[in-house]
Amino acid sequence: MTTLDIVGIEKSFGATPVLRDVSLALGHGEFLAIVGPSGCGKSTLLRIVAGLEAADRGSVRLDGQPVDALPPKGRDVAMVFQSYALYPHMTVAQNIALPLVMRDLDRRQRLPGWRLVSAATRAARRRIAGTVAEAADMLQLSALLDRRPGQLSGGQRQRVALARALVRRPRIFLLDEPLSNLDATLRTQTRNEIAQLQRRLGVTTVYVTHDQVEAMTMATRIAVMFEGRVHQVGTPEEVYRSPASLAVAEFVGTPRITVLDARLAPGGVMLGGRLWPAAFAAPPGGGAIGPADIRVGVRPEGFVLGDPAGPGMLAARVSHVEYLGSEGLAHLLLDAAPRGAVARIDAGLAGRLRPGETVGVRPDPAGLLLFGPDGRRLDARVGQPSSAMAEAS
Amino acid sequence: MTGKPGGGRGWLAWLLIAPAVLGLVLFVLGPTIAVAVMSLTDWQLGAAEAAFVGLDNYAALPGDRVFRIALANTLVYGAIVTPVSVLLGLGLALLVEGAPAGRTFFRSAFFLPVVSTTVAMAVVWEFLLHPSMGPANLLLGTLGIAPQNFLGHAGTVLPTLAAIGIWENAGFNMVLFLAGLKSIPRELYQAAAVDGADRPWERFWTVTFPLLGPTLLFVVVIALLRSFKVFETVAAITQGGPRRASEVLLYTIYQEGFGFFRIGHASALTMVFLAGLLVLALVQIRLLDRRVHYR
Amino acid sequence: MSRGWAAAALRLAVLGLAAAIFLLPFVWMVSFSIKPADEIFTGRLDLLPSSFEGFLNYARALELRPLHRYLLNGVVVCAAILFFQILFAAPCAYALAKLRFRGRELVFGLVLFALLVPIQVTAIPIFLVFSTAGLLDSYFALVAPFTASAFAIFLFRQFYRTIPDDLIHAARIDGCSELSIVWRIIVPLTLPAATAFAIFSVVAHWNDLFWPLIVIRSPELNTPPLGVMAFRSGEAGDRYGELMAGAVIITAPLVAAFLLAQRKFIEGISLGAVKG
Repeated sequence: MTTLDIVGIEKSFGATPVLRDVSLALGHGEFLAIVGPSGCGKSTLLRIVAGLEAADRGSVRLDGQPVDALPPKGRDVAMVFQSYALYPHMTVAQNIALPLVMRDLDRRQRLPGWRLVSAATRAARRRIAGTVAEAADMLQLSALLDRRPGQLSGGQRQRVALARALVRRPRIFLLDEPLSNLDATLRTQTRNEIAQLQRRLGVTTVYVTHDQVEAMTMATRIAVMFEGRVHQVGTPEEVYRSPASLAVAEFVGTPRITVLDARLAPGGVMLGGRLWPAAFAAPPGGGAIGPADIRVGVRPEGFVLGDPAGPGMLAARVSHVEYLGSEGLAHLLLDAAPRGAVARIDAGLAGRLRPGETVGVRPDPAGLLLFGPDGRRLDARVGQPSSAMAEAS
Repeated sequence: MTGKPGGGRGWLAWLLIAPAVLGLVLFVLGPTIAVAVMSLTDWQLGAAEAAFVGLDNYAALPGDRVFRIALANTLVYGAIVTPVSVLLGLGLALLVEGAPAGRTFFRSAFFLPVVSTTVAMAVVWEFLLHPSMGPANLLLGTLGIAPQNFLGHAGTVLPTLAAIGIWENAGFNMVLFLAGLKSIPRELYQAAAVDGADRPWERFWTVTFPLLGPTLLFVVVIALLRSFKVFETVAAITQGGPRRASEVLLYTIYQEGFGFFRIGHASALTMVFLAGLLVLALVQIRLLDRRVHYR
Repeated sequence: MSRGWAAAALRLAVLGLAAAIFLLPFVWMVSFSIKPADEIFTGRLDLLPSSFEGFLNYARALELRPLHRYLLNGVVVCAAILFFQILFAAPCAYALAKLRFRGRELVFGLVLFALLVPIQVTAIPIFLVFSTAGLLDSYFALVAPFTASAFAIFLFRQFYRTIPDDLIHAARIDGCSELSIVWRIIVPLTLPAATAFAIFSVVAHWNDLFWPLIVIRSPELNTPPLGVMAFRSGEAGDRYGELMAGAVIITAPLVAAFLLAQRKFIEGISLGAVKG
């Protein structure tokens, strides 16, 4: 059990900054997923934790002790690579055993054939073989121990990489996009396996992925990164329900959040020709509420569909409908949403709606997420809009 | 800092490359510069002193009968060996690729001359073509043709050496074509068949030939390079004779440089040879580039 | 169906004829190497001798010239060249492929240039220097000019570039020191490329005539091709049975190796296409 603290890490490649003042803290046995689009610096951060790259500034601490001066070997971390990085010339068993061989045998004992001479070496090799068998068993690799990586399927290779990482019970697990080379079915299955394995072993884990679904489903907390900065750290639910920025809101959640154009107005927000009264926790724009263009995010489940003439309804045209069996998704075109809107609807309605049809759509005020001109979240409680088509701007 | 490949450890890199770089400078770069410099002198080994003569050695080349003959012979040799060995290699590759049985055997049979020591096989050829006892002439005799002195006659010696060169190189070209054929995706043939090109020659012209095109150009350049380096058969069998009818560039360089020790002159000849190699190499690089873009 | 069968038969017939023509010199070489002298001069084309004298020609050939000595020279020279080529080229190629350092482009430029320049171009100055230093006519003279192989560096560099950096990162995380990375990861991974190159190099230098012809004077230092030259021009010049036996002895090692590992040989030798 280990805690991991990442403190104020900065890193540039040449003139390009890739990490800007990144700090994260993981408790004992925690599973943190770092998620972000490619190029956001998440893999570099992981490599700095592993000791494969050196940070320009900042510090990595294991159990409070800085490890910045230690090579990877001295940090006792294990890592699963996106490409798996299995040694192609070694069998599965040899691949899994290598970390143990390097740790438990000295230079002389590692010589080929030394086991013939030394009983201690034989015993150590037996212990290693036992541990390897255990790890292989845990990951259903027992039948494949004599194969080479080239003879394995993608899923099998992935499990070998996992086995090699967990066999020596490291202080920290680092996983770098471990599922991105698998097909969709296998990915879902392996996702669950890894999450269960992590909980069983209780090893502090950092998991890097560009797939927010992976992050949401596996991790106890997730950190969302953009352009070298951590925008938000929190439980999946916190990040989904109250995203810290528009970027986070758009990145997390499938289908994507709908973004509506709106404008700050005295007493609230002008959206779809109506004033929605809003109480701001902190006044936006550094004090005075002046007129400013803002954006409003609505999750798919935050829309109510109904009669276009109904109260508070915005008119929208159905562009197409996805019928998913237990529910449906309506893709809508409306004036306030330049990139279209997506609403979750029940399966019955999904069967009836036709493309081209005009419907009414009303965002639920409790689900409205307001984002200022800089993209940051505006903390506000929004109420029901005025019923009239008043004060058109 | 921590171990990171490529991170500011210049001294380690230089330690790793030092032996090879030293070797390349001593045995390739230095000598090449030396040849260029010596080609500007009238140095003869054993002469009291050498003088700088500028481009005189080069200026004298067009009027040098031996050089003219050697250059012409080399070009003729290349002009025979290259097209024939390339086309033969292509034909053999297509035949072997589609052979119903014995593919490995045929491939090995055609490749065997490539592996065999050229000088030893040259001696064998010399005997096989012997004017009186050689089996080749005995064979001609049974057909009622008078014995030919293939290698001893000025009119036939170069084509005969070229024939040996073709025998030596066709298998090499075949292997390159086989690799090219292997890289053509099966689906393309199936697509061509679906699109209506399913007869063998239709398949060849719609799929095989266009996709093999870059390989073909590449093999032609390789074959030219190899044919310009012809030396072994000449040195072993004819020594450039009879009457210089088989004098080729490398053999002239060898004789001028190491037989007569006319260092300045031989260096100029060497520079001409190097220029030829450079031109072909540039063509080859262009082709390799094209080949990559083609894919 | 029958048309397909006829096409296959025709294809086989053409291939068979071509193979016969390509193999004929080898067949005749072996055939004459076991024929007694009087049968060679009868002007008959039988492949097998009417009176088999065993391997008399081989015994006489070995008596005339120490062919086994030439073969041994070939082995020593090829082994030494290959050893140094790989010893020098592999680390250099690794640095060029995986390390960033000042002057890398320059070094790679030197390698590309050296790739173009064959021994025939550099022979004169090397000969003159060796001659002045009294190094001619020695194993050293045969081996030294080839120890730094631009081609080997180029090949290994291409190969190392295909090894993902993550493999080396993984080894570091698994606790390998830099030395054990080389020993446990890089060396085993280099083996396939090194095998192909080894075949290319050995075949090239076993068969090379140009350079040995220039630097070797002493018969006891003859390489196999020089041995053939000496055999032909010497007293054996018109004893064709012995000459053919000698040719068989000189060609046999590589041909045998080729027949044992055809795929590897073809792979290795066709590497030469990159070089020309």
